[in-house]
This record gives sequence, structure tokens and C-alpha cells, in this order.
Amino acid sequence: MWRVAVVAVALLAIWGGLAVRLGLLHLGPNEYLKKRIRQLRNVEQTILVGRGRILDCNEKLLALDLPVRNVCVNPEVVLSNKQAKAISIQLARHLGLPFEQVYNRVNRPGRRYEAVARLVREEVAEKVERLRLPGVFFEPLSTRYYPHDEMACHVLGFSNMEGIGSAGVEQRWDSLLKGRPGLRQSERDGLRRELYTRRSMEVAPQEGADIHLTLDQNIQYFAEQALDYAMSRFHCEAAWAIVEEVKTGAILAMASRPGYDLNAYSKTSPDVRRNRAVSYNYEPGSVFKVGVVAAALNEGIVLTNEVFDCENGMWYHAGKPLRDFHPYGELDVTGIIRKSSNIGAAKIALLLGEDRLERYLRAFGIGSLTGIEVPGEEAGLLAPVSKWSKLSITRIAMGHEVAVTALQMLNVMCCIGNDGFLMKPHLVQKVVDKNGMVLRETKPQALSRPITERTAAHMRNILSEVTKAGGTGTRAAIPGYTIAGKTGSAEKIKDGRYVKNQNVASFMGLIPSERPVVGIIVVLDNPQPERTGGVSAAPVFAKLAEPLVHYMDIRSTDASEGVYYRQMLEEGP
Amino acid sequence: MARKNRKNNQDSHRVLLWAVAFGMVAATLAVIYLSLLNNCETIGRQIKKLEQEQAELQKRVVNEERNWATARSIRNMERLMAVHGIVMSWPEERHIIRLHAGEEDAPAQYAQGFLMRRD
Repeated sequence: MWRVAVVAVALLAIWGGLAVRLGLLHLGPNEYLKKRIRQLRNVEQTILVGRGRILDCNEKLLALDLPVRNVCVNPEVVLSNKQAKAISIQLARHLGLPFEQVYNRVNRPGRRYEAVARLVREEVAEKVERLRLPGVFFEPLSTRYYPHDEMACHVLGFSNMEGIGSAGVEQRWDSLLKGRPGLRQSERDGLRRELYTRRSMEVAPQEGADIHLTLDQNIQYFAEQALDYAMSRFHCEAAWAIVEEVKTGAILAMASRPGYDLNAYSKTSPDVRRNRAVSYNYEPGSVFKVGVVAAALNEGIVLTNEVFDCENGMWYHAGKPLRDFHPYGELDVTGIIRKSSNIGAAKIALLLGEDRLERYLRAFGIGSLTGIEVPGEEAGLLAPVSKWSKLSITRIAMGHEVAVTALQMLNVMCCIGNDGFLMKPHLVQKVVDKNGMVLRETKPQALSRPITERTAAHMRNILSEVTKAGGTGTRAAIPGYTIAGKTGSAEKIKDGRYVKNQNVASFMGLIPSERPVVGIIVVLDNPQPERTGGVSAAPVFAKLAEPLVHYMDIRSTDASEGVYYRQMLEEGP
Repeated sequence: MARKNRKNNQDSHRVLLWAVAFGMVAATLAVIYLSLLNNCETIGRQIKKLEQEQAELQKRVVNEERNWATARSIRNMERLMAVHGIVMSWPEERHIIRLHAGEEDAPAQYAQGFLMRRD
């Protein structure tokens, strides 16, 4: 009997002890334990969001966040099954990697994690997953992807491994593209699965907004094809081109060569990544005469048929000689532009005077940023009149002692094409969030009106002579179209000195000349063996412009517009 | 013989009845609570599953978008045309029929807007 009593007492003592312990655990001051349980159960998740997409003006994708996976192995599991070789063969075959490389990863005793391949595309990863290889697992990730590799690389830029925009539109619009991650506080069960019913807080993420560019993927392709031709035909150090819609200032294409693959940006040097179209200051050479002559015509100082003595190619001013590429006797203003006479342009500039010349050039936007929505834009260089020497006015007239970017120069040309309105060039059409709400929209904006409609029409008429027989830019001509254009060649400057036989050659033009729709500029850095703009840049311009006019359905001016244009010219300069 | 305290008897019955009724209500509430809890858990699991499905579908959409963007690119078109030996040229003017929408010249309006601002 006493044995039963002992067992009963013992059991009671045990149960009592457990009950007390249970009571203490629940009711006692067990802060440490409570905290530990909270840590185990509670989960705070950051809800990551992808970057917004970048699209062209036709909603075609130029950049997006792509789901990818890292293919990993647990060498311990693979080696314990003695399947290292078999699994390596399978992985190498499906991932397109050398067997030795995969085997070196798999055959690592004592390791539990080895990444065999990083950023593998979803469809490839799915194929590997279907093999159900023991010890092989996947890490889902997201990476920035550019479907067209090299296309528009300098404009788009790239976002780095941390998802931060580091060049181009990606950098400039990073704050809108990256969105804002959300936050979720919840609890999880013993198997570490989140319990939906225990979600205590959820801050919804704000997805990155989509950037709609004014670029047209197809026009960009034409521009890049033309530049590739220039690089191979003229062995240039670099080449760049811009296509701008004359009436709105929308940039339809902006291309630079050499280019680089955006999906492998880390393999390129910073110099290759440079967007030369906006960040390369150069002496423009004769294309600059366009601004000088336009200013003089606008002031009524010269008439289009006014004759100047071009001194048979050699003229001394302030004790220094000024030469023409070819010697000319007397040329009218149209002839000065058609033949690109430096002496003629210098004489026109002298008539205009330093102050007025500077005022007009600044009104054309020379020496100031255009405000284009990509980083790294240069403002060009135009010294104030107070710092000009006696020679400066004659040198500036021919595009020396002044530096511009291709975008600035094209904007001057488009101003002439747009009846004298200087438009603000823009690359971003609109920014739209994931709900379709337009966050920002770019409306065309006129910055100034340096010249009148009539002066602009006269300038277009003069410039259309450049691409006709006897002009310097005949190689830019397209059958069936009149093109107002101007050639330019300037010696390169290295270490503060002009380098003989090394030019920056350019051609800029408006199509069609009477009622321009687009303006195009092509710049070649050190083309060889042909070095002048008329021989090297002009044919590249034609190569770009020819498919463009068909694609954009630009027609040579129709009868009614031609009458209007002729009337304006007949009214006199 | 003592008289039966009928009142006391009735009171005790009433208390018992109330206790049973309270017990039944409590039990019913408990069952309802457990049932609702179970339903919530089930729905929660379904939502989680749907969230995962949505994420998977989103992935597929993005992948298809990428494939479509690549397939439609002019570079790919030209490659495919070369593969199939197709040569295309731009149409001549006489082959084109144009349909005019009669739109106003919007850019000219922007320029006019600038003039008005200056005035």
C-alpha cells in the first residue's frame, strides 16, 4: 500500500512541478524567453520592387527588370551521393559552360554552397530544374536587362549590381525608376512559413515608374548603322549622330560609337561609355557659319545676293593671314555658305560687330546647357567679348575659338528649320507609374526666337545650295529631296595645339529644306583618309537620312507649302 | 412534516437552466470562433498561394515581354530576312496611298504659345 502512496506522491510532485513551471513560464517575468519567442515567430520582410521600364516612343521595350536565377549546388550532398561527375556533365550541357569549370565548383568537399552559374535566364533554369538533380538548388533574383544589347547604350546608361542607375537615363531618372520598397510585419509557423492571418502591418511597395523616351528604336537603329559604316569606312576614333524633330525638339535618335553592350557594361572603359553627343566639346568649324550668317541677315546688315571679295583665298586681318580651303574671288552670301569661305564669313562677322555676334550666339544657346535629361552634358565654350582678341571675331565666324556640343549645333540648325524658334531638346516624353498615372509629361518648349521667320526661310534657301551641284555637301543629297545642310571640318586640338591631318568633320542638315521635319547632325572624330565634312560626314548623313525619310514618310515639300515658302523669299531679305 | 420549499426548488432549477444555457452559448461561440479561425487560416493559405502564383505569372509576363521585344526588333527582323533570303526595299511614292486625318499642327501651337507668353 505504501508503495502506491509513494508512486502517487511522486507523480503528484512531478505533475505539480510541471504545473508550477508552466504557470511560471506563462505568468512569470520571463522577458528573455518572451523576446526570444518573438524573434523566432515575428518576421519583418522588405517587399522589394523592380525598377521601372524604359520604353521608346512606340512603347517598345528598351530596358526592364528580368527575373533570373543563380544555379547553385550543395557539394556535400552531391559528393555523398557520388554523383559529382554525372551532375557536372548535365549542368555543363544545359548551362553552356565548360565541364571543368562546373566540376571544379561541384567537387569541393566540406562546402555546402557553390554558385555554378549566376544570373541564368528563367527558361534555362527551368530546364535544369526539371532534371531534379540532387544537391542542385536555385536562388531567384532580378537583374536589369537590355533586350537590344548595344542599342542606345549611351542614352539609356545602366544600373549597377546594387540596382542604382549609374549612367544615362538610368542615372538621371533613378529616383523615379527605382520606386520604393514596401514593408511587411508578420509571424511564421514552426516550418518558417509566413502566417497570412498574423500579418500585423503591410506598407505597400511603390513600383518604379516607366520612362517613355522620345527615341524611336528604328531611327536609332538607322543612326547606329550609319555610324558603324562611318567607323569602318573612315576609320574614325569616334562618331556620333543626333536626329531631332524640328518643331518640338524631341530627340528621335542619339547614337555614339564606339558603343558597348549594356548587359556587360563592366567590361568597358569609361571613355567608351561617354555620350559624346552631349558631353564632347569640339571646335565646330564651318558649320558655325550658319549662326553668323543668320545673325547678319536678321540684322539686315547683308543681303543674300550681296557680294564679298574673298581675296583669292588669302586675306590678312590684324596682321595675321586667314585662308580658304580653295581660293575664291567674289562670292555673294549664298556663295560664301555654298563654298564655305572662311574669308567671306569673317568679313560678314566684322560687319555684324563683336557685341551683336556674341548676343546672337548666346541667343542660339551657344555656351549654355540645353538641359537635356541625361547626365554629363557640357555647355560648350564661348568667351565673353571682353576676352576676345582682335582676331577672335574672324576666327569665331569660321567656328574656331569656340567649342560646342553636337546637340547645341543641331539645335541652332533646328531653330532655322523651325521659323526661328529655338526649342528645348528633350529625351523623355513622359513618366508613367504602374497604375497608368502620368507623373510627368514633357511639352515642347520654345526657349527663344533669335531670328525671324523670314530670316529662317532665307537661311534654309541658302543652305539648300550646299547639297546641290557646286556646294560642299553634295554627298549628303538624297534623290527627290531638297536638304538644307552645312559641312564642317576643324583641326583637332591636342595638348593646346592644332594637329595637322586630324579633323573633327561634321555635317548637319534639315529635311526637307522648305518645311523641315527633322534635323540631323553627324560628327566624325578624325576620319581617315578623307578628312573633310563634305567627303566623310556628308555621305554618312545620307546613309542615315535615306531610310529615315521613308520610315517617317517625309515627303519632299508639296505644292501648297512650296508656294508659301517662295512667297516669303520673294518678299526680300 | 416540513412543507416543501417550492420557491427554493424553482430557483435552483432556474440557476441550473441558466448555467446550461450559458454553457451552450459559450460552447457555440467557441465552435463558431474555431470555425472562423479555421476559415481564416484556409483563406490565408489560399491568398498566399495566389500571391505566389501571381508572382510566377508576373515573371512569365516579363519573360514573354522580353522575348517579344527581342523578336520585334529591327535587328532581328533583318537577321531573319537574311536567313530566309528575303530582300525588301522601301516603296516608291506611286505605290503609297495616304489617308489624312486632318490633324491640326500642334507644334505650331506651341510656338504660338511662346509668342503669347512674350506679349
